[in-house]
Amino acid sequence: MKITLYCGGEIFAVETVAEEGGALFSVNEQPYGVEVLSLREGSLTLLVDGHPVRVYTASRNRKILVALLGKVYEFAEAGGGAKGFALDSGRRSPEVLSPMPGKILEVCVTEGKRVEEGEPLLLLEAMKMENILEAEGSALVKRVHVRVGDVVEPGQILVELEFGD
Amino acid sequence: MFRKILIANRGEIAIRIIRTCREMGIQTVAVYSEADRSSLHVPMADEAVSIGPPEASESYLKMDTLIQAALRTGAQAIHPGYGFLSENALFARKVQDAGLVFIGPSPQTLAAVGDKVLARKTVAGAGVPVAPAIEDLGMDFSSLQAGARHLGYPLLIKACGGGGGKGMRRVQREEDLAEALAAAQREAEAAFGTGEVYLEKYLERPRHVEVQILGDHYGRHVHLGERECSIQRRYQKIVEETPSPAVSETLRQELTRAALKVAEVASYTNAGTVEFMLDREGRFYFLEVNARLQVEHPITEWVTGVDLVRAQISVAAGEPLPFTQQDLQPRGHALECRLYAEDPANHFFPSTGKVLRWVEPGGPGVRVDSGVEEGSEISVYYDPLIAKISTWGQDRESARRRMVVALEHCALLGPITNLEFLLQILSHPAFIAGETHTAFIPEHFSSWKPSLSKHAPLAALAAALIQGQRGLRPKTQEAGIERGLPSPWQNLGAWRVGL
Repeated sequence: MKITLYCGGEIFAVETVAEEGGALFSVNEQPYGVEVLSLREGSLTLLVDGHPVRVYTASRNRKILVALLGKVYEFAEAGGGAKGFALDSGRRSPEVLSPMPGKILEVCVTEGKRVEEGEPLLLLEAMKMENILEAEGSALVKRVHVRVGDVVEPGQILVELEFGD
Repeated sequence: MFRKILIANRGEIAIRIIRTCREMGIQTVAVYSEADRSSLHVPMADEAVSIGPPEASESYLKMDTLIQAALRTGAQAIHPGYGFLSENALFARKVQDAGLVFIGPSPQTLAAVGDKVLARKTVAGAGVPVAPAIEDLGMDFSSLQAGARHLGYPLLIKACGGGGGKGMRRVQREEDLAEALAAAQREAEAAFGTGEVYLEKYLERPRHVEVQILGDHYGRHVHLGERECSIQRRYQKIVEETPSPAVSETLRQELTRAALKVAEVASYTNAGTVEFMLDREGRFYFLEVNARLQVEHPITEWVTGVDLVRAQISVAAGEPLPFTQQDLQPRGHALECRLYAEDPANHFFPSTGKVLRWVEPGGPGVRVDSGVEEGSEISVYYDPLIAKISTWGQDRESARRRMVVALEHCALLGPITNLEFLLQILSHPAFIAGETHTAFIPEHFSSWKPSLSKHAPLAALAAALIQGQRGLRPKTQEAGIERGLPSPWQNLGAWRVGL
């Protein structure tokens, strides 16, 4: 088995190599001795180099979610990841997507405007609070897809930026 | 004692109230909006009434619908929980006029303390210190600017009609005043139905300390100690503890004495919280009264052994307080963390979606108040609180370590949560040292991003095994992936590999 996974902008190449009826596991060429203690719907217990490891798992949109010691990892498989999904949840993504359902209260930029990091792009009203969406870096505003008063869905494209000075 | 109570709320607090009612042998009526049809609180009650569309304004805030539901089901009292209509004087009045009991303070008290500016004036008159402020904004803008200049920047704009961070803005400079005022007024109008705001002096790195009070209908008041709630984001608390590491025994006497004075002057009945700000010199100022049961009440229950919901119901039923101030001797230390469906790496924006996996921590000294289960849908209609996890220990450090272990054993897959963020707060040297203040998060965690930990390869291993297992079923070949045999699943169990 050879599987390449992405998470948080990093690559994890997981391999097993057939070897006399058993196999060796490696993650990014680091070897691990692995025994599966249990596998259930939603949880997996492994013995890794003698250390027991319990993870909780779920899959969504062809991604695998893993919870381990208070952290959640979202793995996408190389060649099989969801189309158009930014690897690290949209940070520094040229597409500014709506993080939640809401209403556009104010559009602070126009197409062709240069913005600096932290500069407000839009004011979005949701859950009775006003949220300011800011530019994540110096960029040029390529396209503005919404107008004041528009009701938007999570994941909807609001503004397109072109990063760089 | 009541035979039947209607709980005019949802989520974890509805569950909390239902639990105590059942323990007291009181029948319960749950209400649910269309978005809450499959919510946990519904089947916990004896009866359930559908109250309308998902929007709170069309369901949980519909006073007449709630009162009608109570009358139809024969409930004698309504417990409003927190948020929604819990501090609404008009609702309390309507409930009473319908011949029902409102489990909370009287409509008069709610009106008196609900107006934040009036409350300030009232307690100041009783000798309780209040933060410097400009309360009446009905003047022309240049006079307001002059007043604000005199008050000093930075300052806070706060809503008169309610709290929870809504309608609140910090203003750093005079140039930002007009815009911040307009934004705060808009937000306040949307949240509380009134855009009235006031300006308050912003204290540098203050601590938010509040005192739990309880009053019965016989004029008796007690306090149940203070809570430290300084760890906040967007003016909402996410970590609370009791006792406060910043409060000496002397200061505690002064704070609780002031809180009882407020209770007295407001003729306060039922449960409430008196909020104070502590400045860096240890001076305290009255902020407001929260005339309801608060989200963080579990930590007070931990150290006092008092069931606050039971106390609320008893008082509302006309019973005298079953304990005196001397009977209340807090023991140990308690902490609470609020697990929210939000993204701390993205301005704490709420995260929605289905809960795919939810594992609650447990064990001695650990309490979980949760309103979700696997399959629950976290929606935009309501507060994205998933659960409150609280721990008790003999001392602060024991309670803290217990919390860390509990959070490490907690898992939620689906919406993004602040779990990792909470763990980092709890493990931060400043937190361990008790150096909590309201700017804690901006100071230590500004532009926080989750980091890949040393355990990431293990998680990748697990993910690969899951994915590899899926590949056993016939699937279209995907470019670049090899799914060669042997697969570990062929002999699952005592299959050992490696060195």
